[in-house]
Amino acid sequence: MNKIYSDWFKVDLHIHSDFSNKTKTKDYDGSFNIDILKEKLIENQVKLFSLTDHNIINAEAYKNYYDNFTNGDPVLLVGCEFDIKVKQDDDSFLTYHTLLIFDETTTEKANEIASIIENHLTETNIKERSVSEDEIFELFQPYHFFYIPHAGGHKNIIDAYKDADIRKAQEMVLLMECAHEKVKEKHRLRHQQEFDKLKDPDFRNKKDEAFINFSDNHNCDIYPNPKNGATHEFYCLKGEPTFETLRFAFIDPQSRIRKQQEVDLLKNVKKHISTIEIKGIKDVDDCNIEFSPNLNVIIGGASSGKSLLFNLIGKKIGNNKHDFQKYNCNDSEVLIKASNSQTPQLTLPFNDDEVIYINQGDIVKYFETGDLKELVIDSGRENQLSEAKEKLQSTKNNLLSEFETFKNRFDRFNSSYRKDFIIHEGDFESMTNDKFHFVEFTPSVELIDLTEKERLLENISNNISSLKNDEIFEFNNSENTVVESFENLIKTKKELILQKKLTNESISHFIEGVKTVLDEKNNNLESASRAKKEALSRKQSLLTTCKTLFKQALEFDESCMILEQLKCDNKEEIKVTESVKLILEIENNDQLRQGITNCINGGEIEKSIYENYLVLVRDNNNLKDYKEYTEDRLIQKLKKETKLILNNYDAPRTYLDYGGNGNSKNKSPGFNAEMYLKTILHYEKCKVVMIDQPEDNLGNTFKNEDLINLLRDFKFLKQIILVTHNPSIVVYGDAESIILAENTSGQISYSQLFLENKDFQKLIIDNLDGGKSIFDMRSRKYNIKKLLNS
Amino acid sequence: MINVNNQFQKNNLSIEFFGDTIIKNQITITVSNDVNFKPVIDYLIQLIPKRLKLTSTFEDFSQADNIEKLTLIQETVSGIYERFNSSIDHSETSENKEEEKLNDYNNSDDLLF
Repeated sequence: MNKIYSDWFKVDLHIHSDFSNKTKTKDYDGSFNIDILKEKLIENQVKLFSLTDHNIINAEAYKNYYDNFTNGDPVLLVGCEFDIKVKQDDDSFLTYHTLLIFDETTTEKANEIASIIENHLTETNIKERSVSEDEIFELFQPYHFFYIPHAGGHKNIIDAYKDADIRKAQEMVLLMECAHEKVKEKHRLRHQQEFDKLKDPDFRNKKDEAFINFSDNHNCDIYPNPKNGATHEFYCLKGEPTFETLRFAFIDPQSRIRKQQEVDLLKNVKKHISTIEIKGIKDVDDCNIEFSPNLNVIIGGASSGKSLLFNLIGKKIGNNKHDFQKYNCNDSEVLIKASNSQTPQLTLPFNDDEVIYINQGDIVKYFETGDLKELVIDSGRENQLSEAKEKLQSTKNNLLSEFETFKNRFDRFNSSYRKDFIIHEGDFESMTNDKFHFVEFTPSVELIDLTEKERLLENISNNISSLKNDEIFEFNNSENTVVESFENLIKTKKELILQKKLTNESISHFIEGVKTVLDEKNNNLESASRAKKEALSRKQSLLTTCKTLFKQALEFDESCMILEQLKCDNKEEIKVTESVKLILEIENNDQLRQGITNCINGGEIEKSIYENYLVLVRDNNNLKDYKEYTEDRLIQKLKKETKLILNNYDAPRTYLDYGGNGNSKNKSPGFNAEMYLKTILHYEKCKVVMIDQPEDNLGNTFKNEDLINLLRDFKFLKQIILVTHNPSIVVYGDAESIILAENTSGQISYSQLFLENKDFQKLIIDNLDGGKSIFDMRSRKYNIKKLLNS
Repeated sequence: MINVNNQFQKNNLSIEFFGDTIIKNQITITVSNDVNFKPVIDYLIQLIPKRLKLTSTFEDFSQADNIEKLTLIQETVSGIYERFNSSIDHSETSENKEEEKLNDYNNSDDLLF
């Protein structure tokens, strides 16, 4: 089945027939047979070729081929290899070889061109035929043709101009906007640099120089090997085998000319969507759409069904961001097939990290809302994101824990402050009377609790017993003696502890006795003495309360300082690519302090937290929004006033750090979107990239330059499916597959187009705003007009 | 260091706080009847964040009529200052201990485990 997108095919526009023996001595080896050549071409899967004899056209061979041509055969373009003579400074001539490939595919035109050559060169010795560049343009002025000179190797254009002005040779090639043949890889760069000097600055360094090699076969029996017998490596072009495809290839060689080996690698692409069979969807024509493994674009007017198809694909590949349900369509008969599968299926599930799916305007939205977690997911860094979030949650929990400590300390401080700090006049009188009382007895001996020691010795005894009776240790007699000695030692210590316990009990009993005696004596004193004792006790109690209060004030102040110094400027970094980091940020500002201060009526940010909270200590009615202070209300208020900060830890603001290029906070939406796309496209695991109208996210400059470069860089590494209105993306991005969505009186249909087909070009132009100018621009490979005028 | 000058004047105890790091402040407590020490406490808790100790002096009141009561007041006020200083001391000790721990850890060549 023919592919309905631009696929690669082999091309060979430099094949000789035995007619070359007419113009060059012993040029062709063996006998030529067009049928054998055709077999060899088919065998080698060559789709476009030309018979290019030296300064002559084998019209008979062309006739034979065209007479027997059927669809699917290799397409034969009329061509010839000319000797071009170049006048040197000393009036002598040097020649170089060039191919002329005409946009002609009929016997009539082959005969016509053959006659032109014969008529023009009739008086020239057939073995010495050559023409000048001027003669070529004069003779073939009515025809479209490509001029493909040897630019390296035997009879090349550079050598032919060695004693003439080389600029003329370069201009010649530039003017023809064609390809160089027979240039070795190592010489390409030098060629490009030399030609760059002549180009308009806008067209420099664009790698537009086309290089191509053909077989230059001189013996159909050994096709495709060249005359020297070396193995020929085919070059491939992308598209259908036509002259227009050749034109596209020479305009955009980077995207459209590849060696066979490179094409094999490109075709060995990762898993991708191969086809979708649309059936049974209301108001949509049934159809099969075949996707290129490279760049696919869905185009069409408003409400033409572009996004419907995009979302349908999203649903069928099991992506959770699709919005197909909004169309309220039944897709149960729609089938989809993967490149590595033989049968279409109802669904084609991809792993989450294999697909990047971006809806219209999503990228700008991500940056606007500061939520770039999708980028992390799209670039396969979910684990790192989870870790970073956990760290921030832990910081939040620490903050909440600090609030809890702050509240507890405040509460204790507040309770102590509520006590009396008064000595009443009566107490002064009591303390100053001359009555006596017995001072309370305080023992200086501190009794040690021996229960623990007792338990320790008991455990040791039990363990010794287990140890002794365990056969696994195989105790011998002398060892048994050691164990028994230790057992006896423990017994002795047990007795010692028992003695000490008895002594402690006696001391305790004695102290209790003394206290009882003193209490009894004080109770028997007269009331004035008792009052003196109680007043002194109250004075002491006041001082104890002061001590507690100061201690609690200090502890509370410590909590205040911790909160004051706490910078909520947490930042977690996730390395997304070598040059891009995703930052999860809790911004550093005064919100925390402000929030804590806001809990107090008349709280002032200029004052310290401690100072502000002294207002609440002095008057418990100063907790804002509450009539009275309680512990619970304070913590509630703290959480409420710092809600913004606490919420930040749950949903931190995210931005991209571009290393030396700043960060997404101070870059334009276009630049950010560019970096976003670059980042996700670099993700290796990703196999399919789907973006609905990427241009909506980008600035004009980026759209036309960087996005296209990005697409061109990555389309051979992963399948890309875009919905777009932008002709630059389609044309400069050199889309391999163009899916045109059309809506005719409410009925949607899809058709497939490709760039190098002239009929399709018109449709593409009609369906993309500014499409014509983009096609015209793309046809200007070097800005030829400017070159001619200069 | 914060200096505190205490002076009995008629029925009042006048307390003056001054020093390099504080604004001079004067507190007056009536001592003729019940004596409420709250104004001193209030001011002292304001001073807590400064983490400075107090040095107090009492003007001679040996000629006063109610010398016994004033002595008790002096004892109480001095007791309050002592407890304030002891809190500051304790906080300094705690801080020093923390620092020592940190230094020990930093100076240790041993691994933690």
